[in-house]
Amino acid sequence: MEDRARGQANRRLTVLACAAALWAAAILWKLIHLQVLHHEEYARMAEAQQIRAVEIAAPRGDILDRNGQKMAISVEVDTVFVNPMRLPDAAVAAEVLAPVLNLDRAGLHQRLKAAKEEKQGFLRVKRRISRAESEQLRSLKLEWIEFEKESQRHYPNITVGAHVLGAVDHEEKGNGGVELEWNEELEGRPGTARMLTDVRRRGIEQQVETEPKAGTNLTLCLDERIQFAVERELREAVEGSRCSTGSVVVMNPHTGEVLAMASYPSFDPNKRPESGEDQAARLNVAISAPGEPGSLFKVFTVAAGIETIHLRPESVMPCGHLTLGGRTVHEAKHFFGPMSVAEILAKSSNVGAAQIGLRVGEERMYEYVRRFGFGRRTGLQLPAESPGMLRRVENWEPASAGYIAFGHEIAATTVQIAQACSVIANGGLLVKPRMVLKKQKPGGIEEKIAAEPPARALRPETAIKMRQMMELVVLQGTGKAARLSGYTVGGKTGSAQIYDFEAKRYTHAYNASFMGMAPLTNPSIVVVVTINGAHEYGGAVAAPVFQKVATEALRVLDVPKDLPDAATEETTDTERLVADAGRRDEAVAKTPVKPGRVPDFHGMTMRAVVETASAEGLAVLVNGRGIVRAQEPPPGAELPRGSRVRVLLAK
Amino acid sequence: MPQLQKTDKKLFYATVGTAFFGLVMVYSATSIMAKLRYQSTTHFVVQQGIALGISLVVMLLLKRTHYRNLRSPAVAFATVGVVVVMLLAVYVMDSRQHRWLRLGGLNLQPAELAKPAIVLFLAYFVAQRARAINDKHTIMPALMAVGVVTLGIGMADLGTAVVVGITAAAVFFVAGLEKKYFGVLALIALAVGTYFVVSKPYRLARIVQFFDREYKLVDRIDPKGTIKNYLRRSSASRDTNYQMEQSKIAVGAGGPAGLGLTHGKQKLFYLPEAHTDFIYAVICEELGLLGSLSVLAVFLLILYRGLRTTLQSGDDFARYLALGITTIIVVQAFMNMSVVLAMGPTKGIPLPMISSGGNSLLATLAMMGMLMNVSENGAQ
Repeated sequence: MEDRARGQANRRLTVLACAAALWAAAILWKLIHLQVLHHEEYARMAEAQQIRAVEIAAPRGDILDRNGQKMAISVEVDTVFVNPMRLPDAAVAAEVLAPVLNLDRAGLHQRLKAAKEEKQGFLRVKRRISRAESEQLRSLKLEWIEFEKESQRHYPNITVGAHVLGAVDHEEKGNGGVELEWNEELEGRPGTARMLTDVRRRGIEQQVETEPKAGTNLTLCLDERIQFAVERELREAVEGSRCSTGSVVVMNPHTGEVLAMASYPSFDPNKRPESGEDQAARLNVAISAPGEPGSLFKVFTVAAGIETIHLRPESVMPCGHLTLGGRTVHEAKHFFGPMSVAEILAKSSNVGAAQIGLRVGEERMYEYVRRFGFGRRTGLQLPAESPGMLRRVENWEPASAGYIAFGHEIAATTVQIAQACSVIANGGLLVKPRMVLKKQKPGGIEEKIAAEPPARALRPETAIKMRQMMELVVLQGTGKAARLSGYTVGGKTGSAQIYDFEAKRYTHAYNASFMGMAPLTNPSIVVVVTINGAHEYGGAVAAPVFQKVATEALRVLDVPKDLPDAATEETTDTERLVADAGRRDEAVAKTPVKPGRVPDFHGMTMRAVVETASAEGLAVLVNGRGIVRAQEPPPGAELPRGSRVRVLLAK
Repeated sequence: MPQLQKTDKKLFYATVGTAFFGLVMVYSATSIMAKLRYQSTTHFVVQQGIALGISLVVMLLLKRTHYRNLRSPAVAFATVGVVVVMLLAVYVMDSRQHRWLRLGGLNLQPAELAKPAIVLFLAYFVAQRARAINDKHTIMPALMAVGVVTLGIGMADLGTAVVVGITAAAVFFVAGLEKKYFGVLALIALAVGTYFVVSKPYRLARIVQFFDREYKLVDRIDPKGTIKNYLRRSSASRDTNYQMEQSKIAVGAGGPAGLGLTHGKQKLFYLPEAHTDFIYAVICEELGLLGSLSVLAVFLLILYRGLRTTLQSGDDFARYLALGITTIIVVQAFMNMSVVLAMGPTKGIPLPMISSGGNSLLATLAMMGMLMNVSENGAQ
């Protein structure tokens, strides 16, 4: 009995042992099934849910001016995320975040709620927040608020060089200017990393696969100091004469390096364009908006004449009436008689220039216009450069050579004019303007951007003759306002009537322009000023801008003076008197201002003018020597005390 | 008698080694979670270490206590009595889960602590009535006692109740209970089990989802969707599938070689309860086949040594004690591993000696201490 029971027990134990063994075998089989046979499949599933590929932003390269001043830099800022899965309550979160980040509370609440319902791992609340916002949020120490570093473009000088630099879009990609044209170099290459995340998509550990490569730093030819002065003067001139747009280019004629390039109106590249905003402010007028160069072009016509029809500065041209292509060619102011080539430039005679153009002939005229670089892009490596407008010679009308001679039937950008003017300044070589001087990869060596070899456009003697004639323009002709103290100057004014394409006629608004160079013996700079929509001539609107810009640029570049400060000596008396008057003026200005009548200064000497004016409580701006020939405003006009009266004296 | 000479070295070293291995795995599974929740990577492992220290002392004490001293009505009824009191207390005090009994700084889990008591009681009772095992005066009281305790455990922890039930059945089976009673017992177990399953939506959802993932069959049987709505009431209705899927990913991604100790990734909250019910998944993921098969081998060794002890023991109490302990530990281990490998519905039982949790560790090592003693002293 005992043994029988024992035997049964042992049999039953064996049954249990076998059951357990079977169970263990099943476990073993399942282990092999999962860990060996289907390992790869599960490894893929694990990777898919655990690993998030992340991009490591590469810092964008800096843009520097020629002296290493930073014009565009990238700074690290925070972007705020929340983890909706860990959000205690969407409404409370919206209440907390909205006021700090200046967001709409209801809208944010909706976004948070939607993300939470969809079980999203993260939701970007606001990109690139300010430092103050970031600090305020961090001080809350809420675990569901997360931050990520992003780089943001910053232009420390606000508008200075804005058109050249351009700007970046929300993805930090260039959308204008150097930023766009050189985007690939500047951008660098983002790195990649594998982020191990937990089940709520929270990053635990990051494994870098490829390091980010920072963008290349670019050094521009611009000089920030000159650029700043240029923009200031351009703005004052355009706003002061109620014009619409304007542009200035300052260039080294020997190397083609563009030292300053300004356009008006301007914009702040730090601000993102808003919808409905006037995009015109972002237009780089200097390279993108060609206009008829007008009288400026006479310089190039005369240069072509010297080389092709043996014109000399003293050659006399008949400058009577001229009918060209069925229209009468008008002079800008008065009718001239026969005059020398030098005078044609100095007084800016349309008829004279047209006759030179006709004599040169259309074939050679076209060739020289091309030699000066018109009708094709300068290749400045900026986006949206216009080639200007120049018809091929086959399409010229019989009168075209005459009209082009004084800058009609052709359109050029300010930078094209600067390029052409440089030909004369540097002794006859067409040097392409350049904007980017060198580039430097982070940790790498500086790499100069190669300049195109210059092409000869004029004989050196021609260039010298032209410079002499251009000096006369400033000394005796239309460009007197461009005279510099201490430097010889050559230049040319231009006042192209603006053609109204709708009305098909020329309007009474002008593209007032001035191109010039200094010092004349070996010009360091070429400056071209174009002001569009002016109601005065180039000599009055654009030449003073040249004067101020050139003075500042020569000072900044430390160019040695080539003249004693003769101009000041000449006007010592005048200036002393004016200064005295000014001082008295100040005293007067403190007494209550009463409108007075402007006396008639005509025929008075300088001393008399100043005395009379100060008695009336007026300031005078005196120009010239001798007796008063003209005054502005006219006699009898009502002016408040302390106002200025301009008088022109002549012998 | 020099104690050392008689030690069942295989069992002893396997147990102690596995317990320390468990400590390492608890650290690996919890360090990140502990860092995030308690700002200390060692939060859990320190607690587990203290529990391990206490449990080893208890194990060594019981190992040195001759099993004859446990073979008394006092021990059997006192332990069961204490367990019943604790189960009643936990039912009242933890009114939601009926699982945790908080006494001072101690968190007691009566369902775990009931296990040594129940194997002691079974061994004592069956040994006493070995000659009349099929007598109704044996069966009825046994059924009452075991049934009450199992029901009490089942209130909180169905998985452990199933383990206890299987252990009791195994002991009675070997003791010679006639087969017809097993039919009756099976019917009772089925009825009670069904009640327990259906009474909690999450339990039903786990079972149904195991057999019918997408509720296709449920939709066909019940087009109105009443059952589905009932299942949806379980807060974690997607959990079963999700948990099993994540567990399989952990085991599968580990592959033959494993990702390396502490390099597992599924413990980043993809695995639910990575340090308790699913620690075997972490072992498989980090240590590959070497880890998974070693753990299986340890429990097979315990099974082998336990059955060997059962066969060799001269007296009935020793036999049934060894059998009960072996069954309860091995069944629990196999069940846990089956859940991890998605071979059975999720039950929520820890892996003996390895999972984090002091109560389970204490109960398991106490039983291992007794088993070692029987192994050392029980041979004829």
